[in-house]
Amino acid sequence: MNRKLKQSIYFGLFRVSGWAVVAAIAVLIGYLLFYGIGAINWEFLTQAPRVGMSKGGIFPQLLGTIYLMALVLIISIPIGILSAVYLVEYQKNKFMKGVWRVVVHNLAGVPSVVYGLLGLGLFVLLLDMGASLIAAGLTLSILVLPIIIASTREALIAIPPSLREASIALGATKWQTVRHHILPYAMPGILTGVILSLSRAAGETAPIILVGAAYYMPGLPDSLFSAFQALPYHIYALATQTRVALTGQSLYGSALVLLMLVVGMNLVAIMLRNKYRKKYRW
Amino acid sequence: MDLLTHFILLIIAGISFLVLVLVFYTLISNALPSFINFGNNEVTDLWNFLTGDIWRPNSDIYGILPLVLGTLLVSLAASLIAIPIGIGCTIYISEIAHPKVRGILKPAIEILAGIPSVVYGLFGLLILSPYIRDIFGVGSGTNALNGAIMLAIMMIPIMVSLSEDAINAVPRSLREASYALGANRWETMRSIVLPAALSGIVAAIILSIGRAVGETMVVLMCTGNSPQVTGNILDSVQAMTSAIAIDVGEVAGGSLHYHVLFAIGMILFLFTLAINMIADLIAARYSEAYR
Amino acid sequence: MDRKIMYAAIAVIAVVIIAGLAVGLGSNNNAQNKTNVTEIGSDTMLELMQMCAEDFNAESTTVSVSITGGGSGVGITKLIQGETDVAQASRAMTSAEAQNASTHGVEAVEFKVAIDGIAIITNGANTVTTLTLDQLANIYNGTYTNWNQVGGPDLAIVLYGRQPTSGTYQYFEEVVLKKGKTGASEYSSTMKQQTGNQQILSQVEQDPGAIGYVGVGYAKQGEGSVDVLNIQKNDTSIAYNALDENAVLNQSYSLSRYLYLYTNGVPTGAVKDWIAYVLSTDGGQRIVTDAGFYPLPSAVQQEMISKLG
Repeated sequence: MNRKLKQSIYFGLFRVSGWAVVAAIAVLIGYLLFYGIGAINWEFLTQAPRVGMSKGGIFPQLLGTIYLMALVLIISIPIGILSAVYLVEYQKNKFMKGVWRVVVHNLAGVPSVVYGLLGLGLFVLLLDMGASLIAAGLTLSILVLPIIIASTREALIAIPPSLREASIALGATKWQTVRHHILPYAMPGILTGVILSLSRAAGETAPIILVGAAYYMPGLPDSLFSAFQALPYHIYALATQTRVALTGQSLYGSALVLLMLVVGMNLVAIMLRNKYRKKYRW
Repeated sequence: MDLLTHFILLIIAGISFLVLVLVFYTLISNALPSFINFGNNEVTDLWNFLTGDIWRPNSDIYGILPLVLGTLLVSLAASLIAIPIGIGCTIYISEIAHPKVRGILKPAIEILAGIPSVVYGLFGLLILSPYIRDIFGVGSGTNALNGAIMLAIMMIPIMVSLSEDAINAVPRSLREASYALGANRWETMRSIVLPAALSGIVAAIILSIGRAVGETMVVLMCTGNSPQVTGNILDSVQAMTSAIAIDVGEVAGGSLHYHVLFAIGMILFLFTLAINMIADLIAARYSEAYR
Repeated sequence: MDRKIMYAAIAVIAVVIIAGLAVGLGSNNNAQNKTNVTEIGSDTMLELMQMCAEDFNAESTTVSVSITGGGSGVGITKLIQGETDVAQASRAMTSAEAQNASTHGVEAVEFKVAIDGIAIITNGANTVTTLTLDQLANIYNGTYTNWNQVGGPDLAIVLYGRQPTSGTYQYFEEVVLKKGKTGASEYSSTMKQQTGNQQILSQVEQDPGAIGYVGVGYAKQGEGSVDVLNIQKNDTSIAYNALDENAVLNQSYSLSRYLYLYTNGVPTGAVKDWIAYVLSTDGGQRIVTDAGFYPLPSAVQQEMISKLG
């Protein structure tokens, strides 16, 4: 066969598969927009559901998801970032470094339903927190911890040793070096990881099912130990336990809101990363 | 001051390390009683647990074979769909597409990677399944194929971003040498670039299969949840992850059922661990080959 | 410098979260001085109890109720563990559960709150109108796989049922599949386990060969697109339908059952207010009808109210 023809056949196939993926995204998002966009308005975002979830909005669910993100932000992100700083900048022992790397790397790939089991066994039952906001927040925090440590680690490693050596040579202490010369440059990379892990926390469903999100509750959670609702569980519950003909508006509306929230955060993270990749070339 | 910060950081790192180790510990400590109980249980024992073909928790019969096979059937079918498209897409993005097109495609695929799995599940359950029923003329559209298609769409972005790294890592000089010898772009790709990147691509495929095996919402919502032993892609099946998610509510009392679900969780955990390590071993080969 | 973007991103995240917290805490004040009652359990009763809770929460100035599903077994387990104030169940407590309760020092008090007939539904296009209990058992245990084996069209049967934690799953297993009795059989492993009545209903609406079991309230919502089958005890007995209120109330329909609430001890205070509302003629019992179930006969209703003391 003609070499050129062969090349164009193969390239054609690759092109088709590339655009097939784009088509899949377009269809998926298109359907959600088509069914969901009509539902979204100010009341939908600020009111509680009524009449068996068929009327009203998704405010308690949306707020629950924001609470969970806030908990992850407070609990997991400082711990994750500082652990990575310790790991990269302070830990000298090669063996310990290796152990850390293996643990973090492998835990990042563990299925989220397993973290859900952990949350149920440890927080809900053993520590007797019940199906509460804090139990879910802690579960999601553990779920994203390996992701934050790994991304922070990468951001720190990307900074050339010469920067550290220069700072130390000028008489700065280790912490001054980290504080003034390492963290500022690593910040965009760290922030990318933070945003990605927050969006992961917002979108995870299985752990929240296992910890026990509420289907319906009056008012809003008033303490860390009260029951909670969350957007992903709302979508699951509406899709499987209600009459979609009646609740479809709330269902597709919620899916669209969750999608916009998560995709929006991911976009910010991607833009941030691309910008910083261009900026610093060592 | 410096010592103090060092100390504080050490403690924080210690905490997070402990937390991560706690994941192993909780899993194991909750899964172990089931293995111990199996010995004393007339209904089932460890061998029956692993190979029994009946999963009927209500009657205390726990054979996880239907669940394991359900997971494998769906993930395998998803891989068969995702691998050619994913690899094709990777090659298109990294080697063929115009930089401007690439600038659109890459973020688009990264967006796809960020879509929460419950949204994929929703789509499969409500929108795709009627088409599957009508096109294949089966009784119901919530079956292994429905789950596999949605899983494939979820796997592709992971596969693309990982295998793209592998292709990009192949040094420019290799390609240039091939062009200089008169090979065209396809020939260079087939006989130089792809073989060089092969281990990285294989690692990417393995990792995305690992992701498919661990995925919960898509299989829970799309595959129909029948814990039966079947090889037919148009039958409905129940995966390990869906069994955990569906049954977990009732098991609070530390019952056998509760521990069995943790045992399934542990199997999933070990499986993903193995997948990760295999992928690492394969990927390590290629990173050593081209420094 | 791209610190700008960075700070902007931090600012956006911070603003969203702080705004969320502020709005949440702000709008929380009105709910704060109410006593919260939690109720967990049956998915069959989820819509019913949620509608009751919505009305009750709107009326009551002192109590608010939250409802969670999961299945009857979940509710009873959580009641025994002290994790919920009230359990909703579509089946009576089993002896094992009762024993477990007493070892945990929980005195479970039972309230019947409504009557349900489990409706056997098929797709509107299916011509089968009546099944005997035996035929139904043989369909669900996988002996019959085609509708022509019970006098219907040549069409494969697609089984829909509930997940094992569901009270309806267990009730059906006992009454139709005769679990623990002579002639017992098991659910076919091809049955698609759905986590809610509504999901069964919508799948049966779509799939021509489908059969499913749901609470009668759900079957009514599907009128027009699904058929509710008549059920005979045996070949010679009269066939009754779940939509026939009298047949369900006097139990001549084979799959009639009570729906229950369980509390730990005779309820007092907020829990008592809530149970009283569910049992009241103008409150819960009216909503029972709205939700498609059957209200308690007045004798049973009085008996239940008197249990409240």
